[in-house]
Amino acid sequence: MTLVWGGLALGAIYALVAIGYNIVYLSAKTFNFAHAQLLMLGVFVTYTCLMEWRLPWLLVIVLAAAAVAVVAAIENLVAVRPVKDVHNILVTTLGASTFLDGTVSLIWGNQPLAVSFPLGGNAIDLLGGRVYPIEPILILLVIVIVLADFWISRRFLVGLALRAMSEDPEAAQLRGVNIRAMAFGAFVAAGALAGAAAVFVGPKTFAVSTLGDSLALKGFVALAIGGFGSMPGALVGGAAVGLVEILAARYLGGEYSNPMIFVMLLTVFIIRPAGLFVHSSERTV
Amino acid sequence: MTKHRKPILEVKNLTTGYGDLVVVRDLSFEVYPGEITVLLGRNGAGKTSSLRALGGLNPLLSGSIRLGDVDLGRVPAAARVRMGLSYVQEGKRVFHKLSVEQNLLLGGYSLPVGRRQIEGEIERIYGLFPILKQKRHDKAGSMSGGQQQMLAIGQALMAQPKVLLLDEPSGGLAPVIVNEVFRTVDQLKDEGLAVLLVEQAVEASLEIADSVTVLDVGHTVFSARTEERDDMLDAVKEAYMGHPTS
Repeated sequence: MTLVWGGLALGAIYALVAIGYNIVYLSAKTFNFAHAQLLMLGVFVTYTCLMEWRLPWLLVIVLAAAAVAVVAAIENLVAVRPVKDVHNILVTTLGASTFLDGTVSLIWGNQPLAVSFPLGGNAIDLLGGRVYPIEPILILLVIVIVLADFWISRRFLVGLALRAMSEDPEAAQLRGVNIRAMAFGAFVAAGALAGAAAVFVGPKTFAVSTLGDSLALKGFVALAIGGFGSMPGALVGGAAVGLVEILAARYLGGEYSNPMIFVMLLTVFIIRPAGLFVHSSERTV
Repeated sequence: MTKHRKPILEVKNLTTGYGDLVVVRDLSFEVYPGEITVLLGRNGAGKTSSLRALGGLNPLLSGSIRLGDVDLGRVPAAARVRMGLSYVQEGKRVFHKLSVEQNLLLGGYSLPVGRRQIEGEIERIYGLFPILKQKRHDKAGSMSGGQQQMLAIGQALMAQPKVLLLDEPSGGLAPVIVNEVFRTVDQLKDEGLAVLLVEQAVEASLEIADSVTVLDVGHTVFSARTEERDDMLDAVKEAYMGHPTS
């Protein structure tokens, strides 16, 4: 059970990254491949604010969200806005991710830095397993985010507008939706969300400059398993990747983690090419 | 007497196309409040391209489009909706994954009012198309073609337009449904709405038309007001055949 908790908590982080990819995908039909790096940046900002400056953690959430949102906005203006072709954006955001990797290494170095969780660091017993408080909180956090998205996208006009533009941008424009502004807003909001969530990610992963790369890959696999554009899919995909990674490492050996994740990805692709939560037949327009 | 009235939409020497490709040249016509202006023409005549230019989806290469006193030349598509120009695209482009009611809510996206008032506006649309009220919680994609067309029109009307652009509302619908849609369009003009109707269904649209413009390969071949001609159908047919009368 301890392993399951660990896997699910790790999976929640992958799901966070997948959700970030999803927000940008739904609004602009492209990916921000630097999203995991934005999350990593948030973790480092958390480290500096929390561990060095000793600021109250609620304030740290706000600061990390604001800092990452600003970086996301700059990334959008430099690497996304000037690029006409959606496919080229994949390359330019990948460039932005490399840039962020380097910047983080320069500022914070390459040694892992511990980030403590403000609400307690001692292991507790939960449903037959030993967990750190951060682990169930991460799982809860990502579930709350998906539920909130579900609620916003159905209850509010701006959420409806986002769903509409993801289905048919031209038709959404004709209903008065400013699709450029919406896509920019979604991009920045995804950054703010990554920054805020980073405060909870840091205690689990440490602040380390290779974090972005490992999260980017597994977050993308989580998204592919769940299906591009599906929030529940991101959740399930993240959990699946986290569990397989931990269980394979425990029972088969650490070097089996990544191969087993890709075996799972391939299996899903063979059975459901569009991912678990997306029906390929729905895409007839 | 109609000559002295002010057009709500004034198109002068409109030239438009896709990128460098010019599809429509020097198209001019006027649309008046409380009237239905019909734009006819064969496939590829440039009807849809003209509407797309009016809606802001295609570039205005030369000429001018005026809505009331405002020059729409460089106004982006989303802003035109706010100014009172609603465009119903060809092919029932409603949002299939959203419910009927969500589609209508979204139609009111451009209104400068609160959610409550938008919901009040939805009731007005339900009055116009009662079937939409019955299906309010259904996914738009699950409805029949005719119902989707009604939803598309209802969605456009949610924005309280002064001008409604309709691109082939009869496309792919059974004749009975076409009549129903046209009857509703005819009703709308009584409330002062200006309708620009693009059609291939010539006879049905002539029945409700106040003025007619026929396009062929990108330019006007015929233009007249219904009240000025008793032989409208024949005249339009001739224009179609390529022998422009007057």
